[in-house]
Amino acid sequence: MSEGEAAPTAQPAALQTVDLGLQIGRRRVLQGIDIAFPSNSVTALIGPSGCGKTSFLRCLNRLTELWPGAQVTGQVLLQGMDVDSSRLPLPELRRRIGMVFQRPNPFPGSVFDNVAYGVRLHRRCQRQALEEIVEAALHSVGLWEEVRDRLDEEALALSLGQQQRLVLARALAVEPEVLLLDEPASSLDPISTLRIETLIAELKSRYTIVLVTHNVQQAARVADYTAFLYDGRLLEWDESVQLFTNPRLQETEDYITGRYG
Amino acid sequence: MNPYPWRGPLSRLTGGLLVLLLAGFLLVGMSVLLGGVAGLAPRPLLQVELRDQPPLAGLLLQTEVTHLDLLTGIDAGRVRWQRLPREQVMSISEPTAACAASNAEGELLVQSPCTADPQRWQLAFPNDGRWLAGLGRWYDSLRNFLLAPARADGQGGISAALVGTFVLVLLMTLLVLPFGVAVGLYLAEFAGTTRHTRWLRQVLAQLAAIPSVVYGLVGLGLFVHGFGHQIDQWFHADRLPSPTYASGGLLWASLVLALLTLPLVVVVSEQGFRRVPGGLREASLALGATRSETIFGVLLPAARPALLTALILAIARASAEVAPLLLVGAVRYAAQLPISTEAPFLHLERPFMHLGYRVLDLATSAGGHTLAVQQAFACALALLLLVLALNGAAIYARAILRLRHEKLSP
Amino acid sequence: MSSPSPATPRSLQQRLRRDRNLLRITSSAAVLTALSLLLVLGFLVTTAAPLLDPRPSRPQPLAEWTDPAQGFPPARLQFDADGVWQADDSVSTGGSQLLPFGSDGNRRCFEPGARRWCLQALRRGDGEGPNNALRLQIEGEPPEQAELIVGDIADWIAGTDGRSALTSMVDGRVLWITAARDRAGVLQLLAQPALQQELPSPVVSWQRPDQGSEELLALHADGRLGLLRPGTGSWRELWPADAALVANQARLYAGDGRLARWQDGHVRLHDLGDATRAGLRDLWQAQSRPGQPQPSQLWQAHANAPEASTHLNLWPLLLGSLKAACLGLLIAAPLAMGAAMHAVQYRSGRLKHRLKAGLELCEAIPTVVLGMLALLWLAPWLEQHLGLALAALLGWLIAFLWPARRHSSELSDGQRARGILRRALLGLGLGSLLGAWLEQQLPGGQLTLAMGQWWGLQYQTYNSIVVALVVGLAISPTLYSLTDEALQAAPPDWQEAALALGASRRDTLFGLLLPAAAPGLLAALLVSFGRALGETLIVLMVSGNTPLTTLDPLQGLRSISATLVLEAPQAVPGTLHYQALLLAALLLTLGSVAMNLLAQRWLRPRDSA
Repeated sequence: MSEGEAAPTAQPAALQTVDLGLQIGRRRVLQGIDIAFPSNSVTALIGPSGCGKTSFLRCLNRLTELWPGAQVTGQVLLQGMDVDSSRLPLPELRRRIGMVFQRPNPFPGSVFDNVAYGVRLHRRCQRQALEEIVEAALHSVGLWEEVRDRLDEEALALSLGQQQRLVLARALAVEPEVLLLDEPASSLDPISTLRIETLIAELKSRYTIVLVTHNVQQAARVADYTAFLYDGRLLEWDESVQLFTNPRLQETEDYITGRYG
Repeated sequence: MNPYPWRGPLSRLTGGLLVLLLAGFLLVGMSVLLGGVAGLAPRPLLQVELRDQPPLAGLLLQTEVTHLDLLTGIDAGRVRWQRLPREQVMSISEPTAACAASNAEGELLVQSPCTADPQRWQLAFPNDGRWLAGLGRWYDSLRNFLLAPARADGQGGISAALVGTFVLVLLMTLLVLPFGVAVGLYLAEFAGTTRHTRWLRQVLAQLAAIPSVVYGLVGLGLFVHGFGHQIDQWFHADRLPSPTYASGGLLWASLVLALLTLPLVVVVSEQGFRRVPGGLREASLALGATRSETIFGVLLPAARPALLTALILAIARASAEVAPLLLVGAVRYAAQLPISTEAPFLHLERPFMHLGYRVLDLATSAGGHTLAVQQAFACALALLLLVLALNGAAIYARAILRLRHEKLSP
Repeated sequence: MSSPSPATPRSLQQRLRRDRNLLRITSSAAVLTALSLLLVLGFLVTTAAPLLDPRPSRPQPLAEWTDPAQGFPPARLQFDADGVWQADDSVSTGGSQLLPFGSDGNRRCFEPGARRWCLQALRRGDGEGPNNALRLQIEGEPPEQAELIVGDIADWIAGTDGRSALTSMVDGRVLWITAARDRAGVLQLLAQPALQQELPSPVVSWQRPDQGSEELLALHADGRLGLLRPGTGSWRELWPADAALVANQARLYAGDGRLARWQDGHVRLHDLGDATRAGLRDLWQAQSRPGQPQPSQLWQAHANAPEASTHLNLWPLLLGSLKAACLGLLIAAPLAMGAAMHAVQYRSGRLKHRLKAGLELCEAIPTVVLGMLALLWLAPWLEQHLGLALAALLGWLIAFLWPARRHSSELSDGQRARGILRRALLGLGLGSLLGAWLEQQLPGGQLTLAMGQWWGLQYQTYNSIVVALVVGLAISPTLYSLTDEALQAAPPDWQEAALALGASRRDTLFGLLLPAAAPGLLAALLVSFGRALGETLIVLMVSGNTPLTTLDPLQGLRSISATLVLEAPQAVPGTLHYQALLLAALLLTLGSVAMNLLAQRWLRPRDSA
């Protein structure tokens, strides 16, 4: 265990890692990460670029398999169940842990098909039911009013901010339990960023959210808990208020006051 | 800044070589175009003077060393033509003194020499009521070229050759496209960069380097003499010793062409799959899609222009390729088309006619006969237009691909 | 229970199974692709393999008997199915007969058309002794006859065409006897040596292993058994000399893959096996032909003329392919590489891109179209206007070497392009006008005719130069785009960096940029050479397809690829001809693949960089 770590909560954890490590080829990217993400809360992961935030996120839904030579050690527990177990095949795991990427990546195709894509994978739906699900997902990201007349248009024609919310709606439509957000606002303008942040606060009631961000202020604004990753290790993890006002480690303080990063 | 400053004479000389190269291809294009158009041009009205007979006027149908055939008129849809022995012909000229007029149906009537005798008007050729007689003649000539049935002497229309080429290429496409795309998919999505894939790439590079005529020989020796012989023994023993599949035919020719175009399809489709932005792949997987669902749901649609390019390039390559077909079933005259209205509709064992082969045949057997030369040029023009149009389409599809690629990765 | 839910979950097992199936399908397609190369190469190698195996077997002894009749060799030998000798040669039911085809010393006749040709050996002159003359009689209208005294004949055998004969003399020589007509049209027989090598001992009996076969079995005086290939003029020992086998009277019999030697009443039956099979060496030796004094290297798969026989020598074909490819590359290399060198100079990327795209389109032009143009138009035109073409080329060369007023680097792209066009039009135009005028002054009005008068040069309409021009044009687009890529590979800022270090422009060009591009240029040449080797239709249509061993560019040629197209459909699988064709195809394939591999090797340093 890293020295500055503490277990800040007694709430039940939706997602938890035990001694998680990642090695790509010879290079150790992550090691010894123990962290728990409490249900219906937002946990922000901060740290300088290259510290392994994104890699950590990909360990959680096993997207690391796309990287040749990547090896994950340790455990990831979803509702207490090891994600490596045969009872939780990859498609099912990834349905339950949704993910939104740095850059909006809608599929080429209509707005409707984008949101329906995931649903169609997992279920056999009648058109009516599908439309309801799509509408609900678009409602929950606040996009319905904007695109209700443009459902058949190319998704790539939307603005970047709309695209990012569309992608979020696409992830929500398959009813995940956990949402992994990988710097969701990094390529957006300030107004779109604000909308995304508001959305995260709204979605907290229904989902467990893990938010990777390089923006310390954003973490302070949105997150209930914040974890500081540095050089592949989890240095400090605490309630946001605690971590930002009274960091226990010098590195954390240096980072949040902007001395590096 | 330009890294290679060729200077002075070298620069001028290389410039001259560039001009020479372009001029060479310009010459090729222009001569095929002009020769082809001249070959398609409606034959001139001729006036033929014969010994001991009144002069005739009509359209030249065919000229041989021993005789020439003259279309002298059309009665109630029936073509009247006359075969004139050369030794009877005293002179041939384009009739300056001929008269032309059109009747109420818009058909062209000719008379040579001009007289006041209404009985001497002759219908020169059907006009189909076109508003312009000249255009009508072009239309007839073109229609004749495209639609008239082929003849055993190499004359006649190119419809059978077009059908043969088309069916052949279609079959080839059906064989090579799924297979080549599957291999491209394997290389791009499943294989990674192991030693096996390096080997596979090597194999594809060498397959592409083998001359096409060798594929034809393999088709002849292995497919026709080997497989075809076996098939005959098993399924068509009743017809032996006359071969069914043990002679060149549509099936073997399309297999050979498929083998020939396989490397091309694999390489182009693999590139297409690799160009799909990684974000789409990740997004689909992150939604819980399996690999195959990702491939069918996202990658294939996104790579569609690349697959289209692969398809068109393969078709263009296959329709330009003649050498292997000479060995596996292209013939100068096939009495039957490879498709028919009787079951099984598609006759895989039949030899077929082919546009490229027709060019070869007409050119080599022309022997100075103007009509054969004209036909050869016209066929070459048709082939060239077909191939260039297909390649143009491939270039266009690639442009779309580039555009979409730029749009997908802002 | 509740009504059916509008959204029922899909079976995860099924989805995963489908996933695994896709992997299975695509990977087996990949394996099949790899196998297809094996299939192609394997087919070529296994079919040509009998030629590649250096050691054919010896004839295997089956049985021996003593002929009770003892005296003169019988007209035929007869064996039953088990190989048991039947002494009575009048029995002809069942079993197989070994016939002494045509070597009975009697007449042997052949009917090519309305008339009947008969060859016969006879004794002329005084005294007893073996036959010493051959007589050819043509029966029909008008009857003709010719006779030739050659010397004491040990044995003779008629050629497969029935009009020539191979005779072995008592003194050990082997002669071809052929029929020919002299200038007055009188039929006569000619004799000439048939072999290049000395035979170890005189042949006392000839035999064909099978009725139509070209090769001959030879029984020698010293008991040796040999195999002679008249087509290639080669002799091989099948059975060694043996003092115990020397006989006064000896004769060979063959048929059904078996061979029998009758020697003073003793019969030895052998299984021939593949003893008569041709080897690789047979395809490269110079061959004697009836009617020609010198042995020559010749490819003639079909005996199209009555006095001709088939000859299989791969050398002219190989030479033809190499000649076409080398000359084609000689045309294409300056043309395409020079053009690409010029194109990289243009500042405007769009112009470069358009040139490249345009030439890529030209690459797609079917070669049959190019071949047709050359056949119907270029070759006849060049024959009439060779002088004009040469003069135009000279004019073009002078125009482009004429000094410029301004340096090219000061010009814009447009100015430069216009300058080039002006020079090209001036040079070509003036050159061809002058050439046309000059050619009018020549004897015959054609340079090709004048060349014949002055220097005795024979100009063929369809010659290697025309082939080279068209093949060169056909491979130019490939060479152009490969050269373009090789030249573009050097980063443009190298030059700035080198200049900043104080290097001169010349140093930069020859010391830095060209060495960097050289492997790519070499690879481009190799790949184009491979393409030219495999080029079929142009060569087929324009080359005249005469298999020659001359390097003279004014003569025609016959390439491997054209030969494959012309002869493979008629070749019968299993024959020497078929195997030789396959071997030629294998050579072609290996040549092209080797070029490709070499090119990859040359390109690799750049790839890894």
